[in-house]
Amino acid sequence: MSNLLNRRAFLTRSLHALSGTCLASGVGGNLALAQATLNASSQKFNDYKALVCVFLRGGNDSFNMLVPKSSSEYKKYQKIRNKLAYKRENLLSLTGLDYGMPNQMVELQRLFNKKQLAVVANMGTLIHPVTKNKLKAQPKLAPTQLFSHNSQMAMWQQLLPAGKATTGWAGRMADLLYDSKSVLPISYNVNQKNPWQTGFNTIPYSVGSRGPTNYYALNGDYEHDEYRHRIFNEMIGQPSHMMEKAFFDIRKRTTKINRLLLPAFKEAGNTHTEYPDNELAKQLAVIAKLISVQSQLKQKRQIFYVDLSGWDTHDGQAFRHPSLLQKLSQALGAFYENLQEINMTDQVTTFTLSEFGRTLTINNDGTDHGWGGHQLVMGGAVSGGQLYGNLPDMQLGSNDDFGKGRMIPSIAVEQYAATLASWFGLSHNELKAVFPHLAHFDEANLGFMS
Amino acid sequence: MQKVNLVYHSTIGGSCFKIKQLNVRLSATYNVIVSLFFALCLSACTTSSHVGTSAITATPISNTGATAASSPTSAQAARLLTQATFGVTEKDIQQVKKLGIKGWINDQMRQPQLSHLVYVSNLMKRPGIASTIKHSGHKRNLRMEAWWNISIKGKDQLRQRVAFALSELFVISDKENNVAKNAKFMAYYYDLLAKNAFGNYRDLLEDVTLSPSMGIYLGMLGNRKANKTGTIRPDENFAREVMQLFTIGLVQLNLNGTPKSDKHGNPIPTYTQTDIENYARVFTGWNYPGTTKKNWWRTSYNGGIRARMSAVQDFHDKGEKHLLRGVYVPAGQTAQEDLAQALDSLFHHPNVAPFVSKHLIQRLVTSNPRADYVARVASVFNNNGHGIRGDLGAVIKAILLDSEARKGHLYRPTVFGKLREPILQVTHFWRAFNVFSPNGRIQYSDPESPLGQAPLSATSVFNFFSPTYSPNTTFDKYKKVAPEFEILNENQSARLNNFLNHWILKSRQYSKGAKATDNLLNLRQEMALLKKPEALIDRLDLLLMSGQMPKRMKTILLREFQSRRFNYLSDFKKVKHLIFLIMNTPQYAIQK
Repeated sequence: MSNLLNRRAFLTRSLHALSGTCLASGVGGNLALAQATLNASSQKFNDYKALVCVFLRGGNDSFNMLVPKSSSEYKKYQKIRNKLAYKRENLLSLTGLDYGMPNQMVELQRLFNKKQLAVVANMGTLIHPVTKNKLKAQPKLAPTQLFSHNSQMAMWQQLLPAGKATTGWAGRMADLLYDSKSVLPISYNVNQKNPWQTGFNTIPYSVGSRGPTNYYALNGDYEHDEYRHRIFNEMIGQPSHMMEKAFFDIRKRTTKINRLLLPAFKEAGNTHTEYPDNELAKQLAVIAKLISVQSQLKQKRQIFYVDLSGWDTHDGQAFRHPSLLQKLSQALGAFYENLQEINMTDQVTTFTLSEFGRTLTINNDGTDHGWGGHQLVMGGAVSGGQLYGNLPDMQLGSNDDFGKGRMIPSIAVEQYAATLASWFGLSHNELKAVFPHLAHFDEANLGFMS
Repeated sequence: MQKVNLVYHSTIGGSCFKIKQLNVRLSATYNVIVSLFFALCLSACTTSSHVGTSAITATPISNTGATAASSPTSAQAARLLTQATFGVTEKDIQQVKKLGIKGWINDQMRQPQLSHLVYVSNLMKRPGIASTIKHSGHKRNLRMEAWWNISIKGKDQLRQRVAFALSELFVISDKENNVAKNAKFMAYYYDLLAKNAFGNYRDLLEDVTLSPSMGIYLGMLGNRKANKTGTIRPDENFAREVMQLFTIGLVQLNLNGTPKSDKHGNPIPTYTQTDIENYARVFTGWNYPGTTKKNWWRTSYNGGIRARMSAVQDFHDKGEKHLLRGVYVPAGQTAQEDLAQALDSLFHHPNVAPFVSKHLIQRLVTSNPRADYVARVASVFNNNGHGIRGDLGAVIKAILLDSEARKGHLYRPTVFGKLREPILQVTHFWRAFNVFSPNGRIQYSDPESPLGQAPLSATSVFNFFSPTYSPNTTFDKYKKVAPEFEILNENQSARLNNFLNHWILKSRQYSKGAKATDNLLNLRQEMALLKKPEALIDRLDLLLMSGQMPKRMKTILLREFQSRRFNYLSDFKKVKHLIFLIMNTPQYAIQK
């Protein structure tokens, strides 16, 4: 336990140093100290849990993912969304809600009605709780570089102002949870590096679209290649250039991890689940396979990242966005079915992130970068079939409108993230160490996890 | 220098005149040159005919000793070529030694431009090919083929290399959006980048802005003024990204590329959301070439490929607009007049010089240029010495001739340089070892799965990697970046190794028995040196590592010549074995 305290203290110090709120204590110096005191901390868990982040790159127009059905609210919606408004009669109903989903989202509708999916409404990057009036009086309360893709993508994933952070919140969770006796990484993604999974002491491992990729040549594990591999390593020696070292480190680490991961992965059975043919589904299929062999890997906690691009619908939204929602719904539906097949629905929680919502007003055939938006959480441990948070007033110039129909978020990403992290096993103090601004908000737990 | 700048800001008219003159010269040259290319790549470039002739003699390239006081050594020449071309070749080394570094750059800038569009169009006309490509969608494979052939065989190496660097700044991508995937439009867009590679940045910016391909990619095409109720308003996409990614970036910069800060030590944003909305209004009223008020709403276009977007005044927001740095756009102007003012306002922003200079330095020379290097190049951007701002030819010269580019590896041996982009490792390999194929065309249609990148095919307008990406905590600690590492994850590291395995170790040397599309190697010069191991290793060192191979690597490679396993291999396989070993090392992967 003392080592956990150390990890936590280290994280807190490092974060404060970065956000400039505390005495700057060099991250590099603390790193060695923290490493020296670490033990196998994820061994404190007896159960297995996994978090799967589905990042919707480009900014999902989620106000077209959950559409009001009551006639008064629908009118407001229709007025501001103009040509991009969904027809009311085509919406899929959600039990107990006056809101519906576009008819491309059959799988997610079913999961919602079976209480395995929840919607968290109007969430965004926030440092402090804000209202329109507060923002008018103190414009600095808004995070910097709102509406810029890469800055906001980084903010959602790191929860620190763009440019200052070197770690993401999953990476910092991993720093607290990883098993320091194991070579295996706690975090995995499918060929997509991301800021979210990078910690001070942990980095993710990228598998390919068919699983971990091996070196087919220059691989010391193959008998026929052993000789060449030996000379190769001799040639390299100890590179002195920082980039040569980094390049070589990736190779060495991949080799080490593959040695454990590949044999386990090969044992994975074939699933009966039929995945749709889309980019997201392909990634989730690999993740499900990795989850299915976790008993061999003996990892108590795993963190996965997948993503789907194309959500930056400035143009052609009327045909692009429904097709994206369909991809998302079909992919998540198949993934859930696969998890049911391997009996993992309760242990695996899948959730979406997206760098911003979009303007409610339109630019003719599309929408522009907004602020708040809705996110989805899926899993057996989710208190599903419910909407968490409040829907904003969707009228131009309303108290929720930051301009042109950019909705001011009423929930901070950190509250959402902390709710997930708490389910994942982080203590109250650990949450504080991972989420630098959580204390600014009343609720550290939004209650959507049982 | 400062004075000249100030003069510049106040005399926009004067500078435009100069730029126009430059423009005329460029277009004239361009018309003559675009059609020259076809012969080079398609007609009887049966490189296989080289094989079997006895004319090739093994000539070890001297690694040391300049031939004249001003003439660079082979290693110095190779270093330049690594930065300025798609890969070192023996011929080019000789050329640099002959002309000197400055002379070679000047000579390169005079080389006629090869056209990707002409390559693709001619390919489409070929009867045998026309039938095979009929159903291949957007014919992306032809665009890729044009890129490989021009990048590998083209004589206008520096221009094409700079075009590739520009394609990672002015990003369009076939990963999204239907029309932009059309191979001819994509190829022409690339030609525009190459055309302006040594031209003026203002022309480049305008060519890109008015290109229908960019118009589609970032939504300026079809962008219209707001409706009366305000529920439909201009698209902000191009307005935002032209500022964030193509010209000035998010925060105010010093001449040396470092961010300025306010009195609290925070960076100062370059623009606000309101600025974006104003620029978005400027960029209204443009559509496919030849669009009129009547056919504004058409959804497809079958017209010419080289035309710019057309302005339709009825869809342009004619209200007054306040742009950055006090530029005022009066009401009632045409879309063209507004656009010229808006592009000028960005072009004359003090951020452009450090922003663009640093991008080009990072793509060609080093990930972590010293601030004074950026400042020297940015000064040239601001004034090429003849009062012209934005002269990219002068900027490229300043980048390549700078003492940091030429000697940085000596002063900063553990930091200077960059990870070779995976796709440039492949062009390098194929150039150095004379790739050829039985059908005379270099084809590799799907580079992104093994290499993590393909020309004009990034996941988003943010390119394959971010200029500020740091691969690990050591880099964070020393405030260093390594952008290219963002696409080198564990999976891609293995994929690259496996790709090299396939194309090096499994490549053949004879057309006979090979498929028409196989990419074959001509290693005869190297094979002839097998009896002189040291000369061979020196040659490989020069071609692959610009003469920077550590002694340890050389010793171990030389030891191979004594080994029974090595001597058991055929001559062709011996050389491939050595190349494969070298190209997988981190010491090779980092260009220094």
